[in-house]
Amino acid sequence: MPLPQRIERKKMKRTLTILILCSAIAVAAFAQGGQQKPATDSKPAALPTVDQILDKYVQAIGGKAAIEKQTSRVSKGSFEIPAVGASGTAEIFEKAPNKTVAIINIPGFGVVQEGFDGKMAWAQDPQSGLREKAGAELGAAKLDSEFHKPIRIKQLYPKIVVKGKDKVGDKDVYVVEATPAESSAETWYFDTQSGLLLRQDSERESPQGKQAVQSFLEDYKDVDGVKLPFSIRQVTPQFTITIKIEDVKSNVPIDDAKFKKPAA
Amino acid sequence: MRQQTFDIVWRTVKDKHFDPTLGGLDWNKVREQYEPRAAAAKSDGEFYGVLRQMLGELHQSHFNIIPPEAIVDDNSAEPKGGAIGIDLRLIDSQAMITRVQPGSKAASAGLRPGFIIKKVDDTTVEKVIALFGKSKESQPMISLRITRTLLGRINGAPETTVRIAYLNERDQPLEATVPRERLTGEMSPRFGNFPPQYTEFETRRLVDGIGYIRFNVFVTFLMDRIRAAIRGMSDAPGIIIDLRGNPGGFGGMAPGIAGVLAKEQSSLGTMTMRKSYQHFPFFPQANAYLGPVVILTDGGSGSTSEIFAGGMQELGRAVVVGERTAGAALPSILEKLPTGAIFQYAIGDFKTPKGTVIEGRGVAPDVDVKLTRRSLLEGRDAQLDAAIEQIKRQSKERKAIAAPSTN
Repeated sequence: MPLPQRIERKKMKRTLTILILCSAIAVAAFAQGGQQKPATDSKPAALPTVDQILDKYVQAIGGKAAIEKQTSRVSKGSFEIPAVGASGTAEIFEKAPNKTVAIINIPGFGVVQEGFDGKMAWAQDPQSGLREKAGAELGAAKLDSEFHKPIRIKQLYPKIVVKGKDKVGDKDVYVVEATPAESSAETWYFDTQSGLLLRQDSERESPQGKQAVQSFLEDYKDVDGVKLPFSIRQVTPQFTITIKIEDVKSNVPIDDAKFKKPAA
Repeated sequence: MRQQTFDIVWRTVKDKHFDPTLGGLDWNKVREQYEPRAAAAKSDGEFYGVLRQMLGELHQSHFNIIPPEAIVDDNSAEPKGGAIGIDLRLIDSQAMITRVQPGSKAASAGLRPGFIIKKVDDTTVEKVIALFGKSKESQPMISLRITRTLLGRINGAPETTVRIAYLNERDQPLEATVPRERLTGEMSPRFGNFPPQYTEFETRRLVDGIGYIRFNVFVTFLMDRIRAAIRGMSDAPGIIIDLRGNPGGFGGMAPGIAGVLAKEQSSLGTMTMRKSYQHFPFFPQANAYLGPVVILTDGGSGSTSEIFAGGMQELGRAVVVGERTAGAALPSILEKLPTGAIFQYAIGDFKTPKGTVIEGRGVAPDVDVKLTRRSLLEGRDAQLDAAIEQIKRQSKERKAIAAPSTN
C-alpha cells in the first residue's frame, strides 16, 4: 500500500497552522509578513513614508473609526489544497482586544483548533493532541490575535521600513518590512493606488521549524464599514492553499470561554 | 493526456525532489530514455509501468504511480475486499505463514503458522520471487514487495476461493481450496487523495497484565483508539506496540503517539526538503503512559512505523525488538494526475534525532529476533516472547530502583 500522507499529513499540520493564522489575518484585515528581499526602487526619495502608507491603508479598509467600532467577528469559509485533493471548512472567532480561535474541519482527518485567549496560545489536532505555544510561536499568535491590528501597527512593530516598489500581479505596490518584538520580520505589499494590502510574506516559526509563506489577499469586501479580503491564496514551498471566506458577521457576542484552551 | 501526465511526473521530480542533484542522476537523459517508451505504450497499464520504471531510476521509496483501477473510490466504512485470514513473511526465501486468524477460513482449512506456501492458484512462489530478481531495492523492501504480491494473490473478492499448495509441519506437500471471507475490519475515511485504507486494530493484555497494541496502518481514524488504549493501560507493567507488517501512513501520527508515552517535549527526527526542513515534535499529553515500552518491528514495518520506532529508540523511550525495518522512510504526498492515476512522490529526506538516515537502511532492532519455522510450528511468536521478556526485565529493574535500600 502507499505510505504517503504520512508526511503529507505531517506537512498538512504545518500547513493548517498557516491556514488558521492566515484566516485570522483575513478577518483582522492585516497580518504577518516575511523576510524576502523585495526589489527596491532605484529612487527611494520618491517613496512615501511608513506613516503615509499605513494611514492610506487604514483609510482604504474603512478608517480608524469604523475599525474601532467593531469589537468582535465571526467568519466562516472553506479552504482547498488542490495538490493533495484536500478541502474543508473553517470558522474563525475573534474578539477585541486580542482573542482568537479558529476551528477547522477536515473530512477524513478531523477537527483542528488553534486559539489565543489573551494570554495563552494553544493548538489541538487529532494527531498531535493538545499543546500550548511558546516562544516565537506564541509571539506570532499574540500578533495575529490583535483585533484592531491595522490601527496598532506602530505599537506592535517597533521597526518598520519602506523598502521600495514592486509588483503584485499587474499592480504596483509599496514594499514595507516590519519587525515585531517577538517574532520574525514580515514583508507587506500595499497597492500604490488603493492602499490595500495585497500580499504579505512571513516566516512562520513553530516546534516543527520555520516555513516561508506568501499570502495573497484578494477579493476585498465591505463588512459593516471595514474592508476585508474574502480570498486568500497562500503559497508555501510545497502547497498552494486557497481560502475563501463566505460569511462574516461583526459585533457578535462571543463568550470568553470560547477562546480558552480545551480540557485535555 | 498521457504526454501531459508524463510531463507532470518528470517535472515534479525535477522541480520538487528534495535533492536537486538527484544523487547525480541525469534526469534529462532519463527523459530521453523513457519519453519514447511512454508515447509508444499500447495501454494505460503499460504507460503506468513505464512511469514506474522511470521513477525507479531514483532507487528511492515513495515514488509510485497508482493506477485509477487500484484506487478505492468507495467511501463506505465496510471493506469490500476478502481474505482467508493469514499473514506471511519471506523467511529463508520461503513464503511462511506467520499468523492465522483464529476462526478464519484459513484456520478451518488446516493452515497453521510455520507452514510454507509453494503455490497460489497456478502461480508458484518461485515465480513471484523471480519477478523481483532484478530489483535494485534493499532486501527488506524486496521481501516486502514479494510478501504483498503473494498476499494480493491469496486475498481477493469475497465469496471466491483460492487454491494454496503448501508444506505442512512434516514437509508434506498438500493443497487446500480456501474460501475468501469479507474482511472484518473497517475502512478509514478518505482524506484528499489518500484513499480509504483497510484498518485492523487490536488491543489486549498479555501475561502479567502487559499491554499489547497492534494496528495495521497509521491513519488518523485510529488515533483516538490508540490514545485510549495506551491510557487504559496505566496499570500495565509495560506496553508492546506491534508494528510488524505496518507499512506506515500519516506521518503526523508518529509524534502523536509518542506524546501519549512522554513526559517531555522532544522530536522524533527531521524531514529535510529542498527549501526547508521540518521537525517531528511531540508534546506530552495528559495521562501519558510512562512505563516501559517495546516496539515490535520487522521487514514489513515501513515509513511512519520506522519514524516512530527509530525516533523512540534513539530517545531511549522504547526498546525495538524483532527485525530490521523496511528502510522506506521518505515523507511523501499524493497528487492526482490528469489520467486519474495518483502520483506519490517523496518531498523530503528523513533523519532520526541523532541524524541517522532510515531510507535504504531501516531501523536496526535493539534485540534482534528472527521468526523461525520451528517456533512458529510450536505455536510461539518468538518476537513477541522476546518483547515480553524485555518488559519483564525493565519492569523488574524499575522496581529495584524504586524500592528503598535494605542496606
